[in-house]
Amino acid sequence: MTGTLTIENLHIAARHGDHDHVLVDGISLTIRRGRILALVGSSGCGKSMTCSGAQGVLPPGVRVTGGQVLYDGRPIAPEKLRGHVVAAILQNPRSAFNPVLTMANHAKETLRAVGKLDSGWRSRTLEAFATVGLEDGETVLGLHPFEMSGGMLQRTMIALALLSDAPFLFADEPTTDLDLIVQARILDLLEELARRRNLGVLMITHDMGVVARLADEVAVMENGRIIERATTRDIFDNPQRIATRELVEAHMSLYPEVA
Amino acid sequence: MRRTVSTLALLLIGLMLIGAVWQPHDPDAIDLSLRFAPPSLDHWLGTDQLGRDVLARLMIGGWRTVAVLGCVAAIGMVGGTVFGVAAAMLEGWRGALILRAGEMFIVVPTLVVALTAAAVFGLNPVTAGVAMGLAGIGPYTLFAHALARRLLAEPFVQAARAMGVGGSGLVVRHVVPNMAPVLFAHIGANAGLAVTAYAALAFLGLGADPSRPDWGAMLFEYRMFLFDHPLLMVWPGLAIAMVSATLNAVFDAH
Ligand SMILES: Nc1ncnc2c1ncn2[C@@H]1O[C@H](COP(=O)(O)OP(=O)(O)OP(=O)(O)O)[C@@H](O)[C@H]1O
Ligand SMILES: [Mg+2]
Repeated sequence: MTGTLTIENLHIAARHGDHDHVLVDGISLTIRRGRILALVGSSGCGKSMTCSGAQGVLPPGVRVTGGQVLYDGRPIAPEKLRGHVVAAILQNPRSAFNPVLTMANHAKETLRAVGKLDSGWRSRTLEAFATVGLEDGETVLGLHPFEMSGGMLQRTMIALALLSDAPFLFADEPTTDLDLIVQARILDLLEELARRRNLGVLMITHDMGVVARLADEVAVMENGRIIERATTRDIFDNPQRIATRELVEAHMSLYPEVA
Repeated sequence: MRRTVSTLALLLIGLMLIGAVWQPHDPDAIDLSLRFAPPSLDHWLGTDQLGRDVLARLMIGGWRTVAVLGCVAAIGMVGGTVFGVAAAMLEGWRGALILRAGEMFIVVPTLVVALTAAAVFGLNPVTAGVAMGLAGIGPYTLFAHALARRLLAEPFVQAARAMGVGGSGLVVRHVVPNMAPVLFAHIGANAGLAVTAYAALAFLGLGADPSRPDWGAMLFEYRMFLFDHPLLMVWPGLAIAMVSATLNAVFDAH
């Protein structure tokens, strides 16, 4: 069980007046180091909630009603998970940075959160920037979010995730807001980092192209439940469920030449 | 237009601040041979019924008005931020308690509080500013709470939480720096009111020290000469009107 992060029987509900509205209904997932697990499903099926619920950062009014997270087979509290075990990359890099802080401030904050802020922060940050292909890291350190492009910000967010040195990465639609060329570069970067640094990645997406490109396994979600899980090959070659088939077919009709 | 008004406001505040350290003449120096002198090169705005330099008195009054504004803004910023952010961060009954208290304080009329404070502690910029600032904490708390709530739901705050940043880090680096300018503008929008309220207090003269020239007190003192020497009332009246109108215009533009 070493090198695994397991979400076990997670239930999440939102309070609606005097009754609970179930958003996530008993999800179980295991993420292994060095492997990329894609969580796919239509919009609103509960992918992001699963992710935030596991990290204990649900929005107000929404809460975990059951389940736990296991790190190497042992239960772990969400506050011990965040930053230390799991780093997060969000969908829209433009809004994921504090507008009044520079990238240097963000890097220091990331390190401080995991108790690793020391005099070596600068060189380690520059190293992480170089790893994700940010040229001229010295300049980037002094920039505010509004002075950077979406691609630069997404690279910086990945660099921050590397800086925290967490063994697992939750990436919630990390490329949705980027243009196609930058998307491809960021996906390649994520895949390379996962392999080289032996990261376990939970990749949330509704883009089967992303799945085909880099996922090892796929879990398909519908209405708060997982309805199918298989290797990426099997999902494309032999989808069992209607929802899965629809996702695959939609992808094929968009990119017939890939099929 | 926006820039002109902002520049004008800065200029006025700057002039008022200069009054703290320099006046063209001793504002209390009496010279009965120079009573009601018209504006001249030596006395730009003329002299009053005791031959005192009007500009010098106006500048002292300006500095005292800025001191009032400083107290009101400082108390509003600190009080609003502390209580508003606390209410947003604390879940459940503690947060709710702060908000209910804030709502109760909305109905407290600022001028009545300031009048009472002046009657008890004597009228000076600090008592008036503190009283008006405290009276404003209720509404500022509610406003700051709404700002903080919205910021806490921002994706960048969620991102920071997901990376392991704790409550104090969120407050210090994410919530407060992003809400401070908005809260300041909101408080500034009431600064014009504070100027006229302080002038009204000084005009009413409750507990005022007449040797200290406040604009409102000057209006009161010079009202006897309204028909013979109308300029004497024009200067403080103009000062109050210009400063409060300019401050309103600046912050309304937001
Ligand atoms: N703050 C909230 N309070 C209550 N319900 C919410 C809240 N935010 C989202 N929901 C509901 O939770 C459900 C799951 O949302 P979630 O964001 O996890 O979807 P998703 O699978 O990530 O979708 P997408 O692909 O569009 O990002 C949705 O039906 C949504 O209506
Ligand atoms: Mg989502």
